Amino acid sequence: MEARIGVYICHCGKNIAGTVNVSELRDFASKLPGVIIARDYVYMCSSTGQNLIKEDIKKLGINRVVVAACSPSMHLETFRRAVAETSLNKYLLEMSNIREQCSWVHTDPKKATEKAKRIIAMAIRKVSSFVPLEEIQREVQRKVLVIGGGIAGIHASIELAKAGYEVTIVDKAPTIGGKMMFFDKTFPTLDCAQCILAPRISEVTKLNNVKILTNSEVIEVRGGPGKFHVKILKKPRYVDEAKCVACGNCSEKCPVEVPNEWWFGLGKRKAICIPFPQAYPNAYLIDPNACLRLKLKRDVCGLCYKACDRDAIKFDMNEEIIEDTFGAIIVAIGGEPFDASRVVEYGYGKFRNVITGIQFEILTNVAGPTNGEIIRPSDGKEPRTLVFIQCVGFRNVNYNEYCCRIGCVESIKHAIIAKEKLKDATIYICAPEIRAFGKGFEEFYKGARERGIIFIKGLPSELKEDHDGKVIVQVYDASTDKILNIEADLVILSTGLQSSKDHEKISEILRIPRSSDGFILEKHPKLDPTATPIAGIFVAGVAQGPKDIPDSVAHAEGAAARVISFLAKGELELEPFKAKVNDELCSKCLICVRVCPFSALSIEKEGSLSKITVDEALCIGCGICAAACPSGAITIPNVFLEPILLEIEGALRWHRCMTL
Amino acid sequence: MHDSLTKELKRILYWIKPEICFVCNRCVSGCPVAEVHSEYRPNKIVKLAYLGFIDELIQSGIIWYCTQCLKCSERCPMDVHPASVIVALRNIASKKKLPPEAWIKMAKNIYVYGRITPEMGVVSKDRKLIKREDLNLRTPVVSKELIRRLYDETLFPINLGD
Repeated sequence: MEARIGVYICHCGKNIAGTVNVSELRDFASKLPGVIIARDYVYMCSSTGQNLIKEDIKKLGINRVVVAACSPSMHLETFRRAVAETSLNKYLLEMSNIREQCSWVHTDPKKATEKAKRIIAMAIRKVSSFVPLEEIQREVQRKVLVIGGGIAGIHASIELAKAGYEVTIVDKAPTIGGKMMFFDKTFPTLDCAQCILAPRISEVTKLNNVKILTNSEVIEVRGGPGKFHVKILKKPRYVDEAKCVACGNCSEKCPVEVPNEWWFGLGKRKAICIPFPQAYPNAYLIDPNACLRLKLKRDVCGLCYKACDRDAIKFDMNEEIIEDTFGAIIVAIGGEPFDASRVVEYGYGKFRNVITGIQFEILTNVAGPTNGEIIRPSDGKEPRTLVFIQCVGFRNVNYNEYCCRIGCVESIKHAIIAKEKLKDATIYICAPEIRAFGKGFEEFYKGARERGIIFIKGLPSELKEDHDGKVIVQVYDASTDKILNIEADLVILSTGLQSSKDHEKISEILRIPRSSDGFILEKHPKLDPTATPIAGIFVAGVAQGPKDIPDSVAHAEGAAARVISFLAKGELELEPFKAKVNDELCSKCLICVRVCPFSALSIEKEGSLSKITVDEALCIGCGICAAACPSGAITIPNVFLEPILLEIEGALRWHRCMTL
Repeated sequence: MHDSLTKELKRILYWIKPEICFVCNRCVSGCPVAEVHSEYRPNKIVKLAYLGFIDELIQSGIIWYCTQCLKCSERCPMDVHPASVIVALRNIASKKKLPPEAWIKMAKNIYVYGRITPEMGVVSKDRKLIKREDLNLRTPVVSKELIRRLYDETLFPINLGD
């Protein structure tokens, strides 16, 4: 089939036409070999623009289409759909990016036009080698993996399970519930966090099609959308979940005491413990780094074993690896509070009465170490003056540049709780400004002012401690133009939410990108906030960026809806760009098998001969195998090798393309 | 507004972006001068300078209060460096021969004695004047040439004679 190429150049308003001389580009393209027609239009992606292409295919018999416009990730699908409406195969289309890669990044119109000519010549040379292709249909596994069992993970799981999908929740903690489990009350309604979360936990645990794996981590993911082969490492709990009734006899007898990480270091726990009374699974677990018997690997102590009358304690439990296949994955790994000890001038970790917001949450929690009484950690006395300091570790070029989004309203909530519990205490909130943007937040802020909480427009430079544990806060208040010296009994640093090491780990395992703040990158910040750039992997809640509870839940439900629409058809249409092995050229050196990062290639015996086979479900058409093959036996249709060589030719000999 | 002065300031401070200050007031909270001078606010000086009120600032003499303890620059979450802005303003003021009398006196002392105040010694119980050399204390050696060059570079308006 002789190539009859149609070239369509988009002005993108002034986005492209403002820098690139579009009419000159059109005249250049129309003279290239194989080009039948070249047109330009102000918005090629509009229906009028698309109709130009469709008309030409019908009337002029165009059989290859080049659209010079924006990035293919923006509009490739749009133009493919337009082409598919005609008799032409939709894979006979190529987009060349003259916006992001040319007009947006250059200022000199002359040079930009010359570069655009090269870019367009590349696409025109490349498209002439294209062949018609058909999409690959693939059956999908109607099972979903949810990584992280916090409020976002639980909500997404409930929605998915209700829609009839099988869900597996994997949580690295020994219980599901996430960070919200430590909260006493939630803003702005001040309803108790346990009272709204515990029913959701009990709901998710009662659903038959939800499997919950705690103390577990995803360690390997292979395969692609519709069929992810996942390996999950389940760490030993040393207590039989089915037998344990959480009576607590074991913990009473245990002689080892260590700082309680569930209370963020504010109290102690035993080596055999339960994170909190409402934990699910409601069973104790042994910390192998604290337990004498497990640490020393010797037959010592064993007091918990003797105390347990249900024979639930098993010191010989081992790690377990669970393998399963899922159609889609939701990443809901949340975040972690900023480590306040990095801000040395505020003395967290050095001054006894300087604590973080999440520690204050534990102090006010009835299930916490003080049974909900607010005390000074240094002497256990009731504090008279409390100072909250905002933006610790956030909006700061040395730590995190973004706003933590929850600190302001969180501190207002803490201040209101403190005011209720300590009637005549003086409470200050030091903040350059209060960001109360959510529904009901501004009214909540007003309520705090009505209760007599004092807002100071400014942050202290540093904190000092005097001999009896009082913290001296010297802070400038811009609204009064005065420098105040406050002797505080308790200073609370608002440490917000930041990305953790888990984000790094999970992005490596799932091969999903992260944004500059460390959180998981969404596919589109406005129009696709719950999908990741990798098909079949979605993100929910704080894993994508700091959020409060209502936003996390909304985001998680959005992610669940996306997964449902992704899997509902039961099959997926995959792009046909898969590696093909020419058996006659192949010498079975197995280099391709070793280099494939997705394990899509394998060697199989066929009678007395062996053959390299490609698993189309796993191959993503990256071309690593094709580049590595010493015999040139591997090709990828419309990608490798001829299209790339032609593309290079177009780039290097663009000015001579006319004579080619 | 004095465009040429603002341009001059931006030329000296090409390496910082004081425009990104969001007025967190940490520089004022920790400033030892702001504690005693109610009109001295580092972030206010920075903003005024970048709004073009440089002439007013250098005429008012407020920029000479700063002790250059650098706390404001250290604690600034946006790396605005108020202390450096103040040094730049002082340079501009020096060009216009505006430093206060006391500053010129101090600069002369540094040239002559190697420190801000001349050595005065102490008087002992038996009313004897004791100088540094009596106590075998090292007297700082000053390279007068170096200091003269320093003043030339900063355009400090000082007549050192020959």
